Amino acid sequence: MAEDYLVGYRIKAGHAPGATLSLALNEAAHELSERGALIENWEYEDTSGLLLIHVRTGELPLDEAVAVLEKALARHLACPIEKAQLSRRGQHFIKVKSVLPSTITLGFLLRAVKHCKGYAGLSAVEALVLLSYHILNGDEERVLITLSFLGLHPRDVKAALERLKAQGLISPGDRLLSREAIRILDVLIPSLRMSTPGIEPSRLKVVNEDGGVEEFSADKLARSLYRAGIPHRVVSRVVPSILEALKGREYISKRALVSMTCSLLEELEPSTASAIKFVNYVYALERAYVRSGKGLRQLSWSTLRIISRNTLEERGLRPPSKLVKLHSELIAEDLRSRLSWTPWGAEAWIIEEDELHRVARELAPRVSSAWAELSSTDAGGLALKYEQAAISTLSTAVRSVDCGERKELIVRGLLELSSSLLISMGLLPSNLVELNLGVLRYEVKRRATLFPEQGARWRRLKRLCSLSLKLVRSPAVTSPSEDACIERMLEEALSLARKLSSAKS
Amino acid sequence: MSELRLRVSVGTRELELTVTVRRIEELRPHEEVVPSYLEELKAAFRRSIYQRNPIIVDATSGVILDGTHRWAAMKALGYKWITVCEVDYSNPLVLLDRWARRYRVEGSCELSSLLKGFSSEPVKPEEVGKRDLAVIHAGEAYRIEYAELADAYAKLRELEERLTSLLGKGPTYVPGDSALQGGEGILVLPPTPLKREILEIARSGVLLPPKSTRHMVPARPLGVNVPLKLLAREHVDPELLGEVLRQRRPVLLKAPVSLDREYKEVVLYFM
Repeated sequence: MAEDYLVGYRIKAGHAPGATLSLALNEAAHELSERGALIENWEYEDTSGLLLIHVRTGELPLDEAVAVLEKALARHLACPIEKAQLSRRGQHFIKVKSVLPSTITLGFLLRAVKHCKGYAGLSAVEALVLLSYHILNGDEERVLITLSFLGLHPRDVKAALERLKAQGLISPGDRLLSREAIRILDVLIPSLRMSTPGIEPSRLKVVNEDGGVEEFSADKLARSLYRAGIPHRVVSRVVPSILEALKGREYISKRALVSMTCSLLEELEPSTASAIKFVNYVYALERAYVRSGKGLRQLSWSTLRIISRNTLEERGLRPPSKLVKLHSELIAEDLRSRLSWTPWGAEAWIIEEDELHRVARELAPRVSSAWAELSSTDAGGLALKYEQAAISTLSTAVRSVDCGERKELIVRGLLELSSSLLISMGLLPSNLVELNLGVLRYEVKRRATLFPEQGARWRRLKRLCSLSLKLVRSPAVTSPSEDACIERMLEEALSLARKLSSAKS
Repeated sequence: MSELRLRVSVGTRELELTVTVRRIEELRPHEEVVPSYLEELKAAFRRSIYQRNPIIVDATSGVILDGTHRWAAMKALGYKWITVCEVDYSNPLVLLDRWARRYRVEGSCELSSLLKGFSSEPVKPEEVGKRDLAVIHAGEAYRIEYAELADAYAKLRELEERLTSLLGKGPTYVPGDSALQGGEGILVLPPTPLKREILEIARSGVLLPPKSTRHMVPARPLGVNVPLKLLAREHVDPELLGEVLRQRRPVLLKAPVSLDREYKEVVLYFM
């Protein structure tokens, strides 16, 4: 099971600007995630110079995770880093308990608080407590604190817990749910996944992380979703649901708004690519806009696709047509963004052919991080690296106790696995798991006809594709029955991945 | 006012903590501040954009249990509100102890001359009780008479002045219970106050010397980071505050843990 630690360092005050720390820790987070550990959060207090990093270890032992952190910090910070003694025994790390669930799970609970009206004789609070008890694996302390964050009074939560115990629905000793509780949750959770559209709330303000306040605008939310690449059919359902959930409120924190949006995206686009894209968009740094001066020139889609294909083929793997389409759309979006942000909106904005190629190269890693990695690694080495990372990530997912986090790990693990398999077939993988799995399924079917003698391998791959698609399309927050089904599929997918890996070697 | 109510398990019991803001002039201190530390804190608040940690107050009376210096610094800087963690002072999980003063002495010191002017009686060191104002040195102990708690602390202040001028240096502060375990030098033990007395003293406006009481709360929120600009306004919007408080993700740290100092209680650290 994954364990949470707080790791502490002292950095001389004034020597660690936030941006540098952020860069170092992003780099460490990337490396850790490849090895099955996560940086959940971090905080730097510049007066005392205390840097605290919340690390969740999976397969990776804590000392190795700490070594990764220290290397990344040493690479970026131009001052000595001291270990801060956090425990009485002089250690610079302590075991902690993460009390709030992952963003997606919390977002689901936030909406549930608004919509849950009770079920099967349970009041709204009792139903919410039962739901949280299931989602938080029977940890009463986490239930109490999490529901406090959602605005419920701990006294009411405690009383509801006692009533649930008295009714025999939950069993605190072994943290188990009764059959009746499972039956209730199997109906309650799917019913809470969707919300109904409503009227735009008035006077709603969004509070950002620094306590800054700005007016909420449904248009702005929709625009962010569109610019993050979320399709209209999803945006048109997300925005009204958010408006309904916010009805009657005057303030919402940006984090809560993003969480709610993500959790809706999760349900509508269960591959999670949409949720991740949205989060990346919302928290992305301001984009840079370029201007060159040669007059306005309209670009056609065919020109963009040719440029995209030529760029993506530069690293020796064939890009699937869906990836080319995605990349060319991204180039177009980038150009549109640049144009929309230029203060000379009415003038023509010109981009040179070379500049267009440069933009295409710049954007290629956003649709295929493998393309970027292939500049320094050969295809065989990269496939192996992805395969190892996939097995590590999926193993962590099997052990994860937070369903929202598990879903993220599943999608990431399957992205790595599908990338590895596509590379071994000479194809350039994308950053989108569903796209990769679709290409993989098609390619497996095609090759199974061409090379029938490798029947066992194709059968395993077909089964893996089928399981993977079900897993990425599964809901993030699951009822007990769905949970059991996902666990089975995940274990089978992991076992198939291991078999395919060992058959190759 | 908007608030974040948290319930944390402490052993088999639970403690309810309410993180919220209170009007700064509504709160009542019961101890004086150390001027030099107050200036340091004021300088730190001028640089900061957040009130990092809430001060601990009694929910009913508004008496400050921990954080008098932060309260005084923010008050001096003109803030209208302060972030607090309210606890129920009458809850037996909230403990109250005294701080003993230990003075290093080279050679020996005649206690009877030190205590000139005080009405005192010699006792055995092991006979010194929790409610005694006493001085202990080299196996000798004197119990000093006092009328009420404020009187005891006035006498304590005078003793401190005499000892500081005699020895040329101030004391180190030792938690009351562990002070009696031994150690060299002169030990001055104030009486352990009762919660009722602290509430009365605060209500009457009398201030005890700095480091008079040692309140032990078994759980505390840290790193809440409420923007100071919100606390400077005449009115705080409760819903806005609620969302600010819900913005961060806490982790639960089991004691003991050393952050800016050692915490012997459960810490709910907001990251």
